[in-house]
Amino acid sequence: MIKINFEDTYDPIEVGEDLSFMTFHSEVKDTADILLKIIISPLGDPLLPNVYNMAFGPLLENGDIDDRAKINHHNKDKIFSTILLFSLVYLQSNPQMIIGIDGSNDVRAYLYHRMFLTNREYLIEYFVTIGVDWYVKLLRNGAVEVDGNGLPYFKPKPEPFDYQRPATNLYRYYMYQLKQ
Amino acid sequence: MKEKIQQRINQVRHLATASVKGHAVKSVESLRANDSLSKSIRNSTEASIFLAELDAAVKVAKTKKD
Repeated sequence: MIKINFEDTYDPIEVGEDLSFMTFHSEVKDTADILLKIIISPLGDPLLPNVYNMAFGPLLENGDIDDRAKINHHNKDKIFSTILLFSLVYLQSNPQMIIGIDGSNDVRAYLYHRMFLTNREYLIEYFVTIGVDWYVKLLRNGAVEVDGNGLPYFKPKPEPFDYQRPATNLYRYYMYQLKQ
Repeated sequence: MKEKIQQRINQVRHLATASVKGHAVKSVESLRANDSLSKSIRNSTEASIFLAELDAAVKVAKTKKD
């Protein structure tokens, strides 16, 4: 279980002028500290101009980040508290933006689902959290709506994060915005 | 907001004003191509419907008690 505490976060090393990134050192079990980078960037979809993506991980040689790296962090609570605190700072400066987390990776979706669930009372003071499921329409003739290729025509459906919903029933996509 | 949290926020903001220019973006094309929400919204009509539903969900979430 991850416990979020904005009073216990890693010190930032470097922060982008536009708050698009931050670096910090994380303690790793049985090895030296590692430099992690958080990046908040536009999704780049002209149809979703206010949706931003957040990624974090160790730096690669090309300056990009490896957001799929498996690291044995000494203090996961502090890592995620640091990441969420940074996104809070970002959203305070960009209150019209909403951060999206793709839940297509089960491990990642489970982690975020549990984090929002178990820190509900704490995070609700700062963020509005949304879960998105994919639905396909059942037509009156009993068939499901299909696309031009004959495949089920799935559409995303957002709802307020359901805190009664167990982590075994993950959303496909998570979004959070500054609570104003 | 607690004073210590505000201090942590101020620390980030202070570094931002005294720090690196520029924008550290991962490839926007790769983000969009790999994002399942982006892939599932195919045109401006679907986007309008989704954004309206998102706006409604945010409003409900702000007032929801349980």
